Amino acid sequence: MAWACAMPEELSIVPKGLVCLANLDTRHQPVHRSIWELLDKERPSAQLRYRLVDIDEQYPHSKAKRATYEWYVPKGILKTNWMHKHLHLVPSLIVIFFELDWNDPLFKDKQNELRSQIEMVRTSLDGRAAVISIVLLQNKNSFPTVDDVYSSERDQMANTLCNYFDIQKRSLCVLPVLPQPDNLSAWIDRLEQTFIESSQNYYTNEIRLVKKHKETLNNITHQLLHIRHQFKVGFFSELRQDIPSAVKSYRNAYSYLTESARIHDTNILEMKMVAGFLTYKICRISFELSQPVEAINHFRRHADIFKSKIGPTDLVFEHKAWLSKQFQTFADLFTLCPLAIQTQHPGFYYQEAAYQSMARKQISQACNRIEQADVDPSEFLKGTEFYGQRPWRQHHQSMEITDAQKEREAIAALRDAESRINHSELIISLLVQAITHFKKHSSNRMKLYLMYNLAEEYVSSKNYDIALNHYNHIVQAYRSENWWLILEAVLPAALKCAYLSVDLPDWIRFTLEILNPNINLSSQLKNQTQINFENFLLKHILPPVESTISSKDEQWKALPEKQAIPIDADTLKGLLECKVYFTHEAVSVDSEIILQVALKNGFPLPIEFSQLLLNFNLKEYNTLVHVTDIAKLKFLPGEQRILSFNFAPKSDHVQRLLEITSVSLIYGSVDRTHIDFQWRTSLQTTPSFQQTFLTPKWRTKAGHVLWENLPMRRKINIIMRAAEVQLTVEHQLPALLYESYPIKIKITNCENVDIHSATLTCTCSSSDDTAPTADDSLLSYSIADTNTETTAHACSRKLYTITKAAEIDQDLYVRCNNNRPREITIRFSYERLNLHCMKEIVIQLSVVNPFSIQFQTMGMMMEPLASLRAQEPFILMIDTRCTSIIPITIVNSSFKPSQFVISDCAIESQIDNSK
Amino acid sequence: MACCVAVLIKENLIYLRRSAEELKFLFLIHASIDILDDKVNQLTKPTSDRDARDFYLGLLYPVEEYKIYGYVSSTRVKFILIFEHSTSISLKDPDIKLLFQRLHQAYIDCISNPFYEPNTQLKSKRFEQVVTSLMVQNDPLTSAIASSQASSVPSTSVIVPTAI
Repeated sequence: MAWACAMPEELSIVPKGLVCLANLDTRHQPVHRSIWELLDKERPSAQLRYRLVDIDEQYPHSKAKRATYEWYVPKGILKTNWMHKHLHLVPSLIVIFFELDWNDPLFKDKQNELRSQIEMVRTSLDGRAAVISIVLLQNKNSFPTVDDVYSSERDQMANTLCNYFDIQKRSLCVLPVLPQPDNLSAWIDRLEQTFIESSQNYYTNEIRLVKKHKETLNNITHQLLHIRHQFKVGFFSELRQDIPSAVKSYRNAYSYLTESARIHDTNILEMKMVAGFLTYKICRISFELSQPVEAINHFRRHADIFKSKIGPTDLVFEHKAWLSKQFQTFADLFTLCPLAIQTQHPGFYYQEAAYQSMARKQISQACNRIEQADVDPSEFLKGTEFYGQRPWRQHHQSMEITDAQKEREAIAALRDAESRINHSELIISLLVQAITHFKKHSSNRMKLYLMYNLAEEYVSSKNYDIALNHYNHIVQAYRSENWWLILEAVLPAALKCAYLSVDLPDWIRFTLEILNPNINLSSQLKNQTQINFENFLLKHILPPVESTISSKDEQWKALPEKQAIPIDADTLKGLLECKVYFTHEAVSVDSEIILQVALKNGFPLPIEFSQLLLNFNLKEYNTLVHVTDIAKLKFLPGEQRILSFNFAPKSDHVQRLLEITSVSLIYGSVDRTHIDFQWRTSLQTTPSFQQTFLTPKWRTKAGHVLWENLPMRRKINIIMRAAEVQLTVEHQLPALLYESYPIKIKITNCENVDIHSATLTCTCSSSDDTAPTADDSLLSYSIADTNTETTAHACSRKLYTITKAAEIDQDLYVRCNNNRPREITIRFSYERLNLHCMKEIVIQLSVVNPFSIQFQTMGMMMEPLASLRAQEPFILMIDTRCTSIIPITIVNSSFKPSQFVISDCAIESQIDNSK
Repeated sequence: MACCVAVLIKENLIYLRRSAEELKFLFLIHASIDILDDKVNQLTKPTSDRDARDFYLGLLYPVEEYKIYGYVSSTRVKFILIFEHSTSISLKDPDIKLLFQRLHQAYIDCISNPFYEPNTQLKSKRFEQVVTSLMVQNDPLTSAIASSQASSVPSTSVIVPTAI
């Protein structure tokens, strides 16, 4: 399709004025080479393009300019070689380098030699208006300094030289760089400035010449010239770096083309191509000027205008190809612009380009190949003089087709060429580019749509493995968002693809996806899918082949006989569900664990599994829950069943947590290919509020358990055997400070045997978390040793034998040395049947002060005294208040005054034995 | 005029009607969730100078043949209308906003039904009628009637629940 959607390379080159450098011997002269390297090096703001030429270089001939266009009918809009010519061949300026010193002994001879060279260049320019410029390379020692007395003389010499060479004075430059240049780049910069000036003058002149024709044109026969001239003006403006007027001219050309020009079937391709070129130029410049909105608007208009201009019906594919290319080149341009957002980025244009190419592919499938050619088809595909014209009727501008026979042959040839094109490659590359852009702009869902297209395209180009990768990704994404409607459309194709790539795990996965009750495909299709699935796994019958696709029986037969295919059943969502439930949160080590496993079947047909296995975090239990009884694992559609398991915990797992890590349900015989459905993450209860809504009564039938209401519990604590004793304490709060607080412990043996060597341990710990200080309470079983000042926050005692059904008492005394709250833990433990049994009671103790003492000093008249005076008697009034809530008896009290106080009378306790 | 109407909660489709059984609509709706989410996030930013009750999100993203418009309620229920490119040229933003408001009101009426289970498919004759009127009305007579009806809607549609 090179003839319709090619973007010529010249179009994408940024135009820069062409300067030819003659007489530079870069190979042998280092100075020449460094001059060339400085001029030629890549600079972002370079305005000129340089080219090395020989002095006798031939330049393209200039056609004689027409004085009048009156009788002239243009043959086309834009010649295919025109841009190339002005970019690379026709110079705006020719610079001749020449070594000549003012005081050269052979000045005259050299002067003549240079003149003959200039003449030679002038001849080969053949009327083109390029400026000729002379650069004299001189010895730097001979270069005039500021106070050079000879400067006027040199001026004189330069003038004569200019006259002699017939060039303008500013075209003569002197470069003092011999034999070794210093500071060359500064010299070159100045030199380049004069080059730019000359080059721009040349292009200004060219623009003026083109514009001069405008008055002589009319709007009937010269429509093409209007467009051509505007294009040329735009191009020349770009060459002279006048970007604003370049855009203006291109825009003029574009609007003339779309509004005034006649577009009909015979010239539509030419019009479209030129419109495409103009759009490319306008958009590229807009993006470069950071005006993406301008570019997008122009392109949108361009696409809207030309979308309906289809052209000859036999060549619709040509139109689609051109449209696709338009979108693609615009996207390419857009990619270079950093200003892209989520709703407006190149990905959309690549996407549309891909869709146009897909449409083209569909159309081209109707194109026939020419098997036996009467005429050589390549004749209809060769290059043309003008862009977008037909090789078999070049320069043809009328609306009628003169040679209908030739036209038919030509169209057949084009269709033949089209039918040989590999469209998939193009579509895939466009889609991949689009996907990268969507990914970059975090549009994952849009990406999925494209991936679906991509997968389809890979299938059509028989790249089943890659397509399968994409299908897997798509199916997973849509399933996780519950978009069953899309899955309905995608899955059958994905299944077909898995069959074709002989990928058994994927084939099974897609089969299961199709069987999901949420997928609303026809029941006939679903039943057939399940039958195929059963046949393959149980009876080893190969899946049947649809008539539209090629059979892969051989490869399917070659699959290994035995393989386990794990399926992550958590993702099946409704096809097969599993819930596990320990009936209790904790189990004592001497009783049985009861575990219920509920399974729900969503397969459209009855199904029979071969094994059910549970895995625990403690490996010892793995074999305990294992069902191989097929009758228990046979399910009707929609049936749910609860399987119950009882097993004993192991005695060395006391205080461990038993957890179900996975449930696996096996389909098919274990020693052949079988499927292993595994549940892991879905076993973790996720209490979402949606699951716990109340079930209306009318939905629950009697005796029927709703699946949603089944509980989940996959962890169980294994705890010690509970001691069969009664442990009670009797005591009366509050405890007083420094009191030996009695606690009566009663132990009753409820076991049916005697208890031997039991231990009673009491510990005290502070329950005040905010001030963790060393505990200072004293625990003991008798009051005898209460006087010891040591603290003991634990005491233990062995009780040798407690006969069956007997009750023993034990007193415990607690003395608290401060009044922080504390906890007393009383633990009774013993061994029974080699199992450790234990019972524990925790007592919260709050300690209060028994009484408070306040005193006041008073004078003899009972008036309160703030201070005491020596030698003056006073009264001390002591106020004892009981703060405990229980009555207390004060046995004795005493008063110990200091040595400076002499008491009047013997102090007696007045509160002895008071309560 | 509209060729596809969809209502979504989070990313789950709870209502869909399309003029043709085309897969493309589904992909377009699904893809537009990306943009809707993004726009909703921008709405909730405190810096956004939009009216908090302005739920109309405008044109979502460019597609060649269709125009996709979005609207989101204060409880983040998403409404999507798709128009064919050719029919939508005459439509202006205020017109489309009115259509959305009618749809929103119909949705509110529909979920006010005590027998409607939240987050499930919308099945209501009244809602269907409103959707049908959005999809078929094309001649100026009925659209004039519709717009006169629609103009009475905003006064009631202001009373939408504001809790999230």
